[in-house]
Amino acid sequence: MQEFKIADQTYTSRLLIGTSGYPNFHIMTESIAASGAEIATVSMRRVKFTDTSGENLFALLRERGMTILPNTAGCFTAKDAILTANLAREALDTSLIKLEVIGDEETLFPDVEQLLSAAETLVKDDFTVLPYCNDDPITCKKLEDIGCAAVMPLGAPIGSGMGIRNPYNIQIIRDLVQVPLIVDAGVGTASDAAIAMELGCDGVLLNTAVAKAHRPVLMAEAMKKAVEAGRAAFLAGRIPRKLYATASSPQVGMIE
Amino acid sequence: MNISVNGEEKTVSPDLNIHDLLTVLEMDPTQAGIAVAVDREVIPKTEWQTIEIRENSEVEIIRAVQGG
Repeated sequence: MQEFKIADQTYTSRLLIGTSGYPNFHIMTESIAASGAEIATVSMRRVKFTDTSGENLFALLRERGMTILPNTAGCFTAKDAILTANLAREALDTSLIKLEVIGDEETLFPDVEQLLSAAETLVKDDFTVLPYCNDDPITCKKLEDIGCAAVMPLGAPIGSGMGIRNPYNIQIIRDLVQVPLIVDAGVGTASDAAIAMELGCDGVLLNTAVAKAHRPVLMAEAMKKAVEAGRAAFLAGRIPRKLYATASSPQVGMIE
Repeated sequence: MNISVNGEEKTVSPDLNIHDLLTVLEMDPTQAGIAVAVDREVIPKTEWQTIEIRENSEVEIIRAVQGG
């Protein structure tokens, strides 16, 4: 199996997992463990002075040896995303950033113009930029040319669970870019993750499909297996699709 | 003097640096995982004891939370 590498770090798992929306902190930690993911995303938000939960996500993920991938979720401009990235680097001591610049609240589709501009600034400022982007081959190519460490096109809108809506574009992106290709958003169930991997993606980033599943820990385990199975199938090489049957049993030696 | 911290108006004594402000807010300035911006500029931890907060400054103190 070829290695999965982001920047200079090699990972065994090709599943990246989000930490949001689980029924509780305990189920989140159990789900992360069951997923086998080595990279977990977090958001950067204001400290609440009234928070007495004592839950420290940063400490927990660090204790478990996870790579923490902060995002710029909720940013609608390059300016806000850049500030958030800088705060994340300072707080979490990482130059990794999942760059999100959102264009519209309802669809949460990326604002490509702002995304490219923010990516350019952050790459120049030595960030390892992993941009959440449209499943548009040209945008992905531009992001690679800017110097992003990966491209992360959406399979479908964030949290929609609609799966890989345009597998043909994902395939074209695979042909077009050399950097790791990670499907980010849209995965609803295990087969969606497997399809992404069968198309040749290097990894899958998901959150809601696990966090909001009826049994999150079990779904995390399913996602782990799906990503592994999809990767193996991609490497093995699928047979071509044909309209008509080809017998798999021998045609000679039949009883007459 | 009046400043804003995470969007809330606060009255604090003048000549306060960031380290002092965090202490006033009952936060441990040595804790890992937090970052501070003053007027949209990130202040590295190494400068928390030297940078003084001015009147009407907008201070943001952030940390990692659950996210996707």
